[in-house]
Amino acid sequence: MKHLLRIEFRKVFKNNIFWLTLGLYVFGMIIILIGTESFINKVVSNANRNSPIPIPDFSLYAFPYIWHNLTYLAGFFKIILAFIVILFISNEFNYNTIRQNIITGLSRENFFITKVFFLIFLTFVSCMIIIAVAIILGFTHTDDISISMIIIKSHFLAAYFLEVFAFLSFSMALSFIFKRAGVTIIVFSIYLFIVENILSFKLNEDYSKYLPLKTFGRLIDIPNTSLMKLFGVNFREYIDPFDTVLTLIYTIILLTISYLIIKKSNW
Amino acid sequence: MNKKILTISNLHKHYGRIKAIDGIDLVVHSGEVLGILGPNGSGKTTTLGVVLSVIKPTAGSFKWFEASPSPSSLCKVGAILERPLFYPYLDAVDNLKIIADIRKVSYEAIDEVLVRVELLDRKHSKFRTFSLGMKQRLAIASALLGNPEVLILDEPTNGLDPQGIAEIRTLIQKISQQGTTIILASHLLDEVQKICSHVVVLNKGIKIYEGRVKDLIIDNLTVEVQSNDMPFLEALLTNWEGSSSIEKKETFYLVKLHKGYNTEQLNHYIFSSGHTLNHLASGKNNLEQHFLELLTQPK
Repeated sequence: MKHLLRIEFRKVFKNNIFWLTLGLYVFGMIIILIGTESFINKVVSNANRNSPIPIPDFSLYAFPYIWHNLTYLAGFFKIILAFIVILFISNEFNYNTIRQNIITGLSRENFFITKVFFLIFLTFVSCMIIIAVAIILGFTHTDDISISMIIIKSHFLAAYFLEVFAFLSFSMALSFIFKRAGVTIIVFSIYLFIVENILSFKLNEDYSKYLPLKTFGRLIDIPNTSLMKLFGVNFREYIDPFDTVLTLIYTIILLTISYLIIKKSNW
Repeated sequence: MNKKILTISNLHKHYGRIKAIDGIDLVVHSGEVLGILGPNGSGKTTTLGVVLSVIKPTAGSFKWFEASPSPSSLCKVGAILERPLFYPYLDAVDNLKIIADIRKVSYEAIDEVLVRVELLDRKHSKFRTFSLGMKQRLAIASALLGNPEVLILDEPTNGLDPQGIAEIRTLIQKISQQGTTIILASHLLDEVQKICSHVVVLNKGIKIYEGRVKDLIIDNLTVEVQSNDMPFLEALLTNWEGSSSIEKKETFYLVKLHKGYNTEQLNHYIFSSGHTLNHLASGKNNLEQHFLELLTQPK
């Protein structure tokens, strides 16, 4: 297993484009996660001047709600990780190095495993950013800290891991189907931004709830803020088991598609 | 008999109605330098792709080292297929480290193979900066990593300049002298003739000839002869028991010899008949002629 990790990481770690895109992702994530609260409060304070009732200040960064808030925000940026996945998997077809890997003696199964490692690595990096930001901001924004307060909502992090990993599995399956980065990114974007939105609009709720990317995104619902409570809107503050199971099933299906393509194709 | 390295049995690969391979049988023994000869599209690369497990056969089977194929058996086979395939943004060493990790070979072997292909001074250059000849040599270096028992080279001199071709051929000959079995696919007869001990000729996915390279030459020796008195020369040649056919070309006769006769005997015969030649050439185009004959023969 260790040699498989070495093989995969040598392919990506020595690539400047990898560090550039990952660096932009990390930097962007940190800026957004740290800056959102003051941004919202600025908007709210502007709105406050005309509001008959005072709108309270937002606090996104107090334990335990910080887990929910940060993982929800971070969910918007997983598309950058998906593009990294598409880029590096289609590289293997572009350079035809998948063929050389197999000729050299890497089994098709092991080739698949190295790519799963890559997805896990990216998902892990994303989670680490959230953990780091949560710990720093959480401790500075929470008055009365106890261990249980820190841990109580941290299962959102597990849900976030699943959400990102499922999303990346989707982008990997598309990369194996379409093989070229440009084509895959276009198909991916059209499906994500157009097809699922039209389908969820046209379809009955009974069916639209099964749309894969919508399901992944639904794992972590919009956090309830004081503003929303003010308006009487109440979003879900727990992880729905139905969504979790459905996401797991989709992930397995998507990984199986990738595996079968590697296994059955002529390279 | 030496041990069997590769056994191919009744292999078929069809792409729809196109039969890229149409029932090939082949046995490669240890120590052989086998040339797979055939025009473009004759099934050479497809056959090699199948035994290297990147192409799934339609029917038939193959064995490496008398065992069912597995990825670990491929670790004992060094191969380049069609063109060198590496990560262009990695340098030579990193590309070879990936190969070494796949084969579970120590990184220490890397410098060694780079020396053998004379690329050590470019070990830290990115692959994309390499010339075609250097890319080809790096591919051979990667194939040599871990001292494989067999080396498969598909058109290794394709696209190279004459100096590059000569370098690669010398390298292949050196490697074969060290006892490595080599399978070389080529559409160049000259190349097979110079490097290989055995030859298999493919055409349209079918094997049309198999044997030793030197048998192929001896079987069908043709000689060009020319003298100042061409009618007299023709008469002499017609009377000689060694000539099987005589063909008049523009300035010379092309004599095909019977099996067992060679150029020296022909020369001796002409001279002892009191005649002298001003042109005598043999060997150079023999394989080519034979090859073309094989390809045009209905099978």
